[in-house]
Amino acid sequence: MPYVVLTTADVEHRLKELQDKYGLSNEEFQNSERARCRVSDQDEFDWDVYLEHQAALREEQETLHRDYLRRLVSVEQSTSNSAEYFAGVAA
Amino acid sequence: MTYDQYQARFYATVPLLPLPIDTVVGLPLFASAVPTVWHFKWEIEFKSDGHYIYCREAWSARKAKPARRYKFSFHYGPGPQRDANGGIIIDPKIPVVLRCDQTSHTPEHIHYLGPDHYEQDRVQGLVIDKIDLFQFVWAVLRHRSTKDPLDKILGFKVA
Repeated sequence: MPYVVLTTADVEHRLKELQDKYGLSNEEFQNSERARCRVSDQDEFDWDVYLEHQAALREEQETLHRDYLRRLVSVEQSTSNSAEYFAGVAA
Repeated sequence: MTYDQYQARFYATVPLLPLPIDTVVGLPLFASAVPTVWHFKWEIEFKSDGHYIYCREAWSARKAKPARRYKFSFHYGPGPQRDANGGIIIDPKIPVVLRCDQTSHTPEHIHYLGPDHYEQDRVQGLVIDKIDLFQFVWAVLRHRSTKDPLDKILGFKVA
């Protein structure tokens, strides 16, 4: 399969697999040169790139959430404006 | 460079490579969760002597920055050893012919005809972090067809 679209679950699963295999947290892997030395070449590559994928996914989710909240606020404002308008018409 | 451009360049360039008949070209792997971050793996195996090329790159254009390659490893040497799923295991005990590496935790360096790391300050004539995937593959193919050493083909010297 030449193209892989990674989901959040795929990324988290691979990172968990690596953490369990080496008994290291992501932070230990990132910050401890000694811990890193225990990780095989292939796994080290994967660990670094999956952390980057995870960061990218989190940024995307935060952006999406911000946009959602922004729309929610504008819908609430518009709903309250409409309610005032219709209340005025009824009176 | 975008992810689409990266893939397009790969498929446009592979047919131009002078691949000998004993070559088994592996299926490339392009993996991405969002279009601004991707990684790539690709191997070429030479059946006549069991040598192989193994290329890996990771690119990121997070936070609206231009895409940059933040990690790569281009490997050529004897082997490969494989795990139960057929994946390549790189055994550091097996000497490489040439390997160019850049990781987020080590400065770019090469290994040439042995296990020693040569960081950029010990390599003349080659900017390691600028080496291109196809520049590497082409050099190995040329080395295999002409028997010229890779340092001559790529124009570098190690000290």
